[in-house]
Amino acid sequence: MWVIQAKGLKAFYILHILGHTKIVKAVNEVDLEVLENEIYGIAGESGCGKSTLLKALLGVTIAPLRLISGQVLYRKDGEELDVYALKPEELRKLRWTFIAYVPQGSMSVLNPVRRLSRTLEDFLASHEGLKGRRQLMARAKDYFHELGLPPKILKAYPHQLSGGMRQRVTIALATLLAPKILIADEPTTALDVVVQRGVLQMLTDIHRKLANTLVLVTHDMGVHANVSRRLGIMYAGKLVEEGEVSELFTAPLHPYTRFLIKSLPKLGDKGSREGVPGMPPSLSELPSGCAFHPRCPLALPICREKEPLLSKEKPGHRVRCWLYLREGP
Amino acid sequence: MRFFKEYLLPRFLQFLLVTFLGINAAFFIPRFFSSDPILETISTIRSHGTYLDPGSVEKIISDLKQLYGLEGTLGQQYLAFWRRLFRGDLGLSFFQFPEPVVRLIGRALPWTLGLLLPSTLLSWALGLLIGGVGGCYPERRWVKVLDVISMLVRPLPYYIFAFALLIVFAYVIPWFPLGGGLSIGRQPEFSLQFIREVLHYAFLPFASLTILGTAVMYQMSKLIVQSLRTEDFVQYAQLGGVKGRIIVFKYLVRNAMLPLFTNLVLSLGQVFGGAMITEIVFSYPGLGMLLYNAVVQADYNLILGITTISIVAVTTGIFLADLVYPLLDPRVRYQ
Ligand SMILES: Nc1ncnc2c1ncn2[C@@H]1O[C@H](COP(=O)(O)OP(=O)(O)O)[C@@H](O)[C@H]1O
Ligand SMILES: [Mg+2]
Repeated sequence: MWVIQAKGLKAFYILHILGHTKIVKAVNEVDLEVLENEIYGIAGESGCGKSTLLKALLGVTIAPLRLISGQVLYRKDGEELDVYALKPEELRKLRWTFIAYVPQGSMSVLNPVRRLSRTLEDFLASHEGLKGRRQLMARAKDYFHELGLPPKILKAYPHQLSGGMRQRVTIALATLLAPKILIADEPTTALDVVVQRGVLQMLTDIHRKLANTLVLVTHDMGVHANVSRRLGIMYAGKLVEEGEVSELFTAPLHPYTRFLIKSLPKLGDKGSREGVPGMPPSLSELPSGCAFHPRCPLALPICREKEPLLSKEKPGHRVRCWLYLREGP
Repeated sequence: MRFFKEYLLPRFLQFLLVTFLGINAAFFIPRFFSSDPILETISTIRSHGTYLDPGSVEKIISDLKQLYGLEGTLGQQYLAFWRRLFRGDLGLSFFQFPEPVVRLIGRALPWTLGLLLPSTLLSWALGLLIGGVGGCYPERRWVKVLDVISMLVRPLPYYIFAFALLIVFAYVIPWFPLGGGLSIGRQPEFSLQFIREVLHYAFLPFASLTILGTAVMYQMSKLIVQSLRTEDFVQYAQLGGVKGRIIVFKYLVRNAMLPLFTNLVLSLGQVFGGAMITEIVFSYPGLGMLLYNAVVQADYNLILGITTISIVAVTTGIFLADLVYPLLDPRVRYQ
């Protein structure tokens, strides 16, 4: 059963530079379903639109980002909610209680002049009212303890914490109200390896304890191999392949996915790793046909002319590539 | 301890150094001017048609030298100046002889402080708050109205604005007195009526300073808040469903205070120089008026006294601000 569903989702950055308009097609016709109690990974090179997709899924389209078309649905207590049709106050109430978010670069997301306990209080009080303030704080303390975070850091200011600690605090802050869905954007990027492992452990622990859904975005395929259950591969604003992680890593279909997997370091592998050849395209001037064709070693003549559809190749495995889809749309 | 050594001590030394250099400048600069205050005074007396015989000229010169602290070599004058300064003696005013400069300043200071401290603080706080809320909701009607008002008021030269207020509210509609701090002959006393009169006389100068000051602060605060709104921690709190009121005050206005705090400190320091134009336009008996008269009458001791007080006030203000700032911004505490 899905908890988030995106249908034909398009969200573009519309920029006005020196009198002319530039359109960055960061999320371009994305269809996906995230299931209850799963870890859904999203991968792809930096700049392909992962963070923007998350914002669109959260219903946060602040200028210059604009929702062009499509729908995002949440399923809450058996009821389907159309995110972009909700009133701002209704959406505000869903945040943190139903769906929470750990943003990319969470180093700068905490108010620099407020103690952590106060920031926590701001979020708690805004959702649960100010009444049981003491109780709320006691709960926060317990929760920190449960997660293995020293409760005394509640008294600290953000700048007094290390990068890894700040990331953990942000995750704790996001999950304080036991949301049904947690969305984490590059939670391990910019941390050193040992700290990365701790942060991932914390995320999966919380996922298990809350029995909720985790949407995990990272360009690091190694993380997906270890943590995610299903994986969507994004390229130039589109989903190009999606399937179970076990299947994607053993039998990838899209040439781009194959490159991503080949670029992973393997145990005992001393040779240099191959990256994806070429450069990702500009999202404001996409190549014709399949956006990947200029970099694709297997490109067919049709790839240059027509865009392939995302087709179901096997049950639970979709791919957007002419190699598998002979008939045009 | 680390706070003391790494934060407090360097700032204190800097405070002492800047104060010392400033006072030195105030001492030396007039001495490098070619104009000689003594000869000027004598020629002023002569120009009134008074006949001075050579003997009395000698006498006047030596009296004046003593009066201005101009006896002996430059080194001796310099030492004597500092010695007197530490005793709190700024010499005698020449044109209100034999009033000590300290007493003249002491008489003018309450007027200036009473006028400028409240108006500086009020316009800072008011501008910060209104500008902060305006920066959060730039689309609201009242914000747009305030934008237009502040855009009209701000570029006005202050003296024109002050004059306009005076003409409209003291002359055309005589709600307020045309000038002064009190009605003539009124003696200070502790009574409700006296306080009401002081407030009545202070209202127009106070309003002129506060309106213009608030307009300036409003624009600055609004700009800062608008750029703060795109900061990660603000957008994140918004996304996390934190209530609007908390975001406006605890996230936006609170952080906008940091860059604007410096403004407050500098204008508080300037309070001690008096608001010369305000005091002239409204004939207000404060430090600015005193300084103006001192300059017009070439009362060198008085000028030096007011300058010294202002220098000490500004540097002390900045030093105190450095002490308070870590309370506002926890990030500077251990730098
Ligand atoms: N605020 C913005 N304004 C304009 N363009 C943006 C903005 N944020 C991101 N983009 C552009 O949108 C594209 C997708 O960005 P993003 O979603 O951050 O990618 P990813 O998270 O995969 O690295 C990039 O080309 C980026 O330059
Ligand atoms: Mg990103």
